[in-house]
Amino acid sequence: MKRLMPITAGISIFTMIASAALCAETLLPGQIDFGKFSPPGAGGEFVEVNLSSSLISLGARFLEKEEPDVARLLNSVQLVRVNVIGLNDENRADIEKRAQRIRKELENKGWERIVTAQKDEQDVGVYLKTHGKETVQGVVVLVTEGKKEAVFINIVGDIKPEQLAQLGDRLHIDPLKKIGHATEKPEESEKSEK
Amino acid sequence: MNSIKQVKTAATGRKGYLIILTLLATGALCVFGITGYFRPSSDTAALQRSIIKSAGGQWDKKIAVRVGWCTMAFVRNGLRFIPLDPEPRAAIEALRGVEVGVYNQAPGARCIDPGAMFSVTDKAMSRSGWTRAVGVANENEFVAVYLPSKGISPGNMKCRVIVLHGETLVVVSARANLKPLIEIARSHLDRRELSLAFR
Repeated sequence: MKRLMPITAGISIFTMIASAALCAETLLPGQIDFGKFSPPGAGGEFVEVNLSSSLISLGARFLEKEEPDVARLLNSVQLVRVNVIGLNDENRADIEKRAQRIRKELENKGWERIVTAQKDEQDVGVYLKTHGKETVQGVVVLVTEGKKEAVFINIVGDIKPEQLAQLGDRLHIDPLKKIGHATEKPEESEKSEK
Repeated sequence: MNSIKQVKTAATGRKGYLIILTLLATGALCVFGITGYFRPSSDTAALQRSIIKSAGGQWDKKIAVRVGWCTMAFVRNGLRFIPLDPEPRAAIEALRGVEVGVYNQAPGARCIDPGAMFSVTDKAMSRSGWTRAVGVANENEFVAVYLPSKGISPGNMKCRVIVLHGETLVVVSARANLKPLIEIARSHLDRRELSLAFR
């Protein structure tokens, strides 16, 4: 009976570790778990979009002929998650704390913060997870607009840095558009100017 | 002679019973088929129940319509003999089945908690392998779009949409084959390319 206790404890600890490892494995390389958001009380704004690769590639099929570049870009995206949460007195502290936790997690995991913009009460942060110099595995955009709202965006895929502007343009993410134009190769920017 | 007559009468009687039974069965099938148009499928009914339960208060059914694959196949085949523009034809050919339920909340009911509604509908849908692709909540509005977690393809696209606007709740479930729509989009493009080439 005395021996049984440590064995049971050992098995339960092992199961916990194994399940935690399994959960971590299910996340894609450029994916960040923002956690679950719930709509703010008193009719605050709440938007959540979660697009999987199968749905994105389905959309790409409609564009295959008309816009092959965009279709190719969409096919390289595996996941898009967007959360917009209206802030009020009830959830402001919690959301800000969560944004800080995500920022810390990104820094610890080696994500590169490529944009920091703080003005008045607005705080914009854009993070990239790259694989070598040629591919971007993940993009995270965090925006907290003082007392108004917080925006969390995560795009996962196998994206080329020069495609970021197009991606920002297609998904209407302004900070990404700006970064994309900055990362565009000089020849390509010349072409687009022409 | 009498026995032959008796046998003949019994056989005619049995035939009569069979005819009556067939007529009754046909009538019952017709009634079942017709009422089926106004009865949601078990999955949709379970979803509607869970939404109404989570929203609370009293809800009155305004309309519930179900058009299944059988009716859609009948419509598709029937439309072959009717001249139609390619776009509406493609749209009808794409649709494989649709269910719509409209409910109105009784006046004086309590305010809706979108957070509770999301968690209840998410749970109900994930049980049958669906995940939420879009969720929007704002004051008196609530929108949730669900798609199957696996097996989405142009040939087999399913979606469920829940819209709550003020006191009206709409639950839509649709099944489609998007191939005709993709084809029509491509043919439009081919035509445009051809006209550009001949300029």
